[in-house]
Amino acid sequence: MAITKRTENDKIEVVNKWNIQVRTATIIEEDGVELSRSFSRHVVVPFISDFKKDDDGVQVLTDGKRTYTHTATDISGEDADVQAIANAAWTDANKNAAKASYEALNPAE
Amino acid sequence: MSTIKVDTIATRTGSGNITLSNNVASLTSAGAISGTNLTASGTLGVTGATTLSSNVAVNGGTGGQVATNFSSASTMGMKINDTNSGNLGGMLGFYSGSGAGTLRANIQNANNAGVHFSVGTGGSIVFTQTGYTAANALDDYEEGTFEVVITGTSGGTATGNSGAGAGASYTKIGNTVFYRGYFANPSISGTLSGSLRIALPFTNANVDRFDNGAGGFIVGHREISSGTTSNEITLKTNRSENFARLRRKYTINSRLEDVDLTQGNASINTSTLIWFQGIMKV
Repeated sequence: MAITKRTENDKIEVVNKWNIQVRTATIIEEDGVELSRSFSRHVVVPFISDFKKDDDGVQVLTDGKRTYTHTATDISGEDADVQAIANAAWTDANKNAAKASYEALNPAE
Repeated sequence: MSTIKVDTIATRTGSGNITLSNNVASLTSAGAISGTNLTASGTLGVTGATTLSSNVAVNGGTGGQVATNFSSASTMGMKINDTNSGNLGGMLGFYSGSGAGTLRANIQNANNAGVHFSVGTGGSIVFTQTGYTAANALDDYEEGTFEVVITGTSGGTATGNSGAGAGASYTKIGNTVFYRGYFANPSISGTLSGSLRIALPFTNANVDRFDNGAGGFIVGHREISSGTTSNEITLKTNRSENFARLRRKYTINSRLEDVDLTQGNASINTSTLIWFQGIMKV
């Protein structure tokens, strides 16, 4: 009777073309028969996007507009299957769409 | 009516079928008909109890219908009794597809204490309707955990120390996710700076403008500041975002508003503790 524990990314979803939602299952098995399965999740996105603010966190406008920054996400620490899907989903067009979406949803206030 | 008593009825040659040109009106003794096969091309009606000691196949086991009528509240239309297999015994399976079909949903024995009703991928349970309608279908339920990480938009990450009890869990019911967590004694990678965000396990919906209304509360904290105006810190998630922004109250032009909380004001350090909970739509 052998009890084993393993993890696998049993669900990898692409939401809005660029958000990669990863569900990692931790599976406990006895002689290859599954006894339990529990889930952990995280989301991988192509950029950490923000806009310029002062030290108090208040937006800084230039000519009435926000200045946005989009810092690329380092996915080298992700599992190979997640990297493969991210690299496939994050085409230049989709990355540009991600930036444009953030800016459209976070306009100057 | 006269009576003929015989031990065996057989054809004259000892083989072939026996043809009855009229109904058999009455078979009165137990075990009145016995043999290997009974074939009826019309209707088989049984008014008494029926015991079948082996499998029952309708239309060869690949199709057909079985209907049961009953009219008593003290009994049941169908009884399925798992007498041996115990936990996870398959009590009722739902298949579709050609041949033997593919299992789509299942009712299993839950360790002789209840049943598991598994609707399969794409299945749902519908309330208040007798047919499927998307708005009333519960098509997803999931529980899980996620790591508590606070990211600075200008750099750095703070990861809650699980050894100190840090962790977070979520419950997804349909399109709504409830989450709660504990961020404790983080290890800080890089220089934490810029606006602060807690990573969430799902991406918030982007269907309606009111999807901007996702968020939650910091229900308790230590070693984190909201600046000089107020001690209240809240969580806010905009449309299509996979994080909760830490927000603080701030007075702009004599109006109290909320703005992103930056590390410059928050001063998160390795002794910071945060308890939080929130809701999002996915």
